Amino acid sequence: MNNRIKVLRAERDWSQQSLADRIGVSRQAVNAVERGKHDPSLQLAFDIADQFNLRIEDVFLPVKKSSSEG
Amino acid sequence: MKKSQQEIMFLQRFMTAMMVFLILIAVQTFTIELLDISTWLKVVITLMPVLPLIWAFFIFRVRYRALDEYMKALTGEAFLWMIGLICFSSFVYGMLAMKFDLPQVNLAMVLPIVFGGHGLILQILIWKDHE
Repeated sequence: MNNRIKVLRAERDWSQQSLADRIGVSRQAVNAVERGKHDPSLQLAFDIADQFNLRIEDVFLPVKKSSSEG
Repeated sequence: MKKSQQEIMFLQRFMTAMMVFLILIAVQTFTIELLDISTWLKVVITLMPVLPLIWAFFIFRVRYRALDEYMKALTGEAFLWMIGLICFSSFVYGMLAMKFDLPQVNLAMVLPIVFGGHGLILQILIWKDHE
């Protein structure tokens, strides 16, 4: 799952640790979500979006499936 | 790196359990070596160090449940790797031992290998995700 966390953090001048402290997870978790190494649970995705005062779909972008499917 | 209060509490409890373990190992060694005691008492004293290890396991479980979803997933994967390594290596060793004269391996080594190894693999998994 793609996301805009890095950009949104930069706009607010927040470090990964700062965001991690706000949502109560480890810095490693924020880093992994930000880099697309870990797909967050729905609750964590909502928590992250909430910190940026955005909707979940404004932060997380689904990976488009190829048109040949379905 | 700043450690959370929870992490500090975990370390304090875990280190206390390890200290108790070492003390009981010393008590076990001196008692069995120096005193002439009955067999049942020997069994009890020999198994005493297991108690702080069980305590340490429950301390670890509390910490695991407090981890965030990402660290929980990685810790689970690290244990999966360790179980795989232990199972396959013991199976390979067992197969070889059936055909060749191999030295005996002390089963007491399994616990420290699993817990130590999982920590090492966890760090590798974190590093791999962040490289």
